[in-house]
Amino acid sequence: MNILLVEDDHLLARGTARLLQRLGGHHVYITMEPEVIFHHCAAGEVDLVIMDINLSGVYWQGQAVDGVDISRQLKERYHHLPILLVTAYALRTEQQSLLLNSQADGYFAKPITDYKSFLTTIAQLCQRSP
Amino acid sequence: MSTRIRQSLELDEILAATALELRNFLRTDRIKVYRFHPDGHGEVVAEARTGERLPSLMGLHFPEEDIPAFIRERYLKSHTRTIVNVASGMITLNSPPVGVMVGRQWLQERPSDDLFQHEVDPCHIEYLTNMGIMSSLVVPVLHHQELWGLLISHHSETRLISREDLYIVQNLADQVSLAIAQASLLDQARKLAQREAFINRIVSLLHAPRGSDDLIDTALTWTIEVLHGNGGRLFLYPLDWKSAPRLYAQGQQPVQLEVGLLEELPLWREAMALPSSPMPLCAADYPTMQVVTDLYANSEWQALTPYFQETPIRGFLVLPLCFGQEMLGCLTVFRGPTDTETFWAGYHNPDERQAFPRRSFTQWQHFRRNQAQPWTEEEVTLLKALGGHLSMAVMQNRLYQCEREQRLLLEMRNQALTSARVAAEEASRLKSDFLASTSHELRTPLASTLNYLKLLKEGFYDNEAELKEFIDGAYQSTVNLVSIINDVLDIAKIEAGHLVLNLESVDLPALLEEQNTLFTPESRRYGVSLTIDCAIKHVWADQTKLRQVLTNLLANAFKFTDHGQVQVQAVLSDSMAEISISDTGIGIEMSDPNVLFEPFVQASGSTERHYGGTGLGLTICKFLVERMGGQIWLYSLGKNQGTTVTFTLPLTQPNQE
Repeated sequence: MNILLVEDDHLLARGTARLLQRLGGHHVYITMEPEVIFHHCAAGEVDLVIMDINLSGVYWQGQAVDGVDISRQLKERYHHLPILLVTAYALRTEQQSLLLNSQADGYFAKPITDYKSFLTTIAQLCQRSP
Repeated sequence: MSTRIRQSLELDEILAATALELRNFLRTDRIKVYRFHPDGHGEVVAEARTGERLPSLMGLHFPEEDIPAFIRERYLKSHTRTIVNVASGMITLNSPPVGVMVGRQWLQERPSDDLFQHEVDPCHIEYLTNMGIMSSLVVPVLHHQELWGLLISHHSETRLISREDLYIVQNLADQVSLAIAQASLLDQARKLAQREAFINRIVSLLHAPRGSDDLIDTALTWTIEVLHGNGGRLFLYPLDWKSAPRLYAQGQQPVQLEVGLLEELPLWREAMALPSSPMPLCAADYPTMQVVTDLYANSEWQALTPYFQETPIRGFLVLPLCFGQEMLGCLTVFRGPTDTETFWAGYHNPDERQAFPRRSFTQWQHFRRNQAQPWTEEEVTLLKALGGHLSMAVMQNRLYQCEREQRLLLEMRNQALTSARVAAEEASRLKSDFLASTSHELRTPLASTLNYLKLLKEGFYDNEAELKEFIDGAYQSTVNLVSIINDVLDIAKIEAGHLVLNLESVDLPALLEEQNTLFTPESRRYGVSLTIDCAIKHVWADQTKLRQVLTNLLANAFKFTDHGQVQVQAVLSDSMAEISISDTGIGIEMSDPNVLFEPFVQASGSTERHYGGTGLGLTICKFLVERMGGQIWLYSLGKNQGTTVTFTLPLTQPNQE
């Protein structure tokens, strides 16, 4: 699978990308620039987006945006593109409201400890999308 | 005759009618109604004459000595009527209902048992002769067992008075007594009605909704008017010891005191028998109304005269206002002097009265200027009646004020509570936010550490270089985690007040030189020059904390600058040291860059995480600088325009106030 990893902490992003390659054999692109994200998605090169919610200082069309905003806009354009949120917010209620707002397909909380279910979820989401 | 007399209820008209009817009946030269004043002197209040044989005495006053006390006593006690025949020098005294004929013939014909005759005092004869009177008839007029006055008939010739005449005159005098009783009742009723009307007017004024100062001023003005005063004041004790007493003053006032009010003078309080404080009174201390007719007539008031000497105030009424057992204040009405004008009958010297009866009864005008006006019983009663209502109104006003103050106090307390609640909620929100952010921020390096450890654990490395990369990643992530935890602990310590500052005079150039040495490797590595320009010798700070702030800001400057220079400047500004760290780095695009001092906020745009850092550095700097007595702010012209962070510090130890 071609996975687009949107993450602003490069150290975390590199480690996650390596794990996804090693554990699931996925190709991972790391970025946090909205232009790059939309460009890749528009080109149909992306099977799944893993989106970090907290993207401080990221601007899109003159507005400060976070992972939730970008997810929503992606979903508006590409209904079938699976999006998996990764959140550092600790409360379940917070996580669920973020999920609803972003219209994403699922979420995982940082730090991810259950790599198995993480990968299973990714596989399932990719299967669902045509 | 009686019918005509009773046609009116007005005393003046009754007396005038009586005189007229009696003259028509007796046909003597002059009939007069003579009224006694409280001090014993008399006044002719009604008169009717036949022709001009005897002069008019209407309105003239006669001294007390004209009708000596024993004679007045006799008139009162035995209802004696006297008939004087000047020609014979005899006076006939009768007991009712015996009539007396005055005249020699008549006296010879009368049996001696029903009349009591003796020679008239020669002085009296001379008195009557001087008045041009040959015969007089005097009938007393009584009212309430008091000698009210006399009904007098004078004739310039000897005149016969029959028993019937006397009977009728006596009857008439009785009628007059009745009429006087009626008229005085009417007068009392009228005065009562006036008083009631006035009090009602004041009461309805005072109880108008929202008692205001204007209303009290108006009530005071009306009271002064109705009592014919020339000024007045209402003094009210304060509600509590913290406030000043209230004074409403209208018209003439005593001399302004240098300190306080007249009513606060112990001298005045003592003189007016007022208590020294408005504390609850016991029955014995209950003050009463003071009535002073003439301030200058009594040595008792001597001490108070300086306050009134410059003013046209002669007398006053002082009414204490109490409600229940509480003293509320006092109402004072002042009164000025007046000029009286009395017409006396003839020149009169009381010392030589007996020796020389007056020869002439020509009226003699007596002016008395600047007289004190006595307060009438009527006025005193009126003020007393008013006092009760005024006290009630003052008390109501007080209660209203108390209630209003309580309400305001309550509102203020509510406001304070509300703002305290808002502040507490805000603080709590900030705390929760900080906690949430902290937990959030800790998760990223934690996740990263786990990732690398997982990679190592599973042996997902193909070569030595990759193994080193994973170990480095895990190590770096853990270092990041530790620095976030350290910063968070720092902030928690500062917030909890556990940060102990060791303030002293710090050698700033030395400290900056130390920083220069510390950042030289960075400077070389990035090719960014570091210049330090220090015009300040010493600052008042905690050396360790100041070092932390400088290191933090310089690290930021180098972190966000990839070419150009970092500049440190220390100058004097507003008697504070102003230290600026400027760079030529990536700058800030935000409208309010000072939000960067809030925890975990970074604004470097899309590359921010490349620079690392916890997002707590500036927050800690702000805390430390403010705790050391300075301020910190941040300025940037925009993206790629560089950033300047400036903070201030005291030069020397601020005054401990």
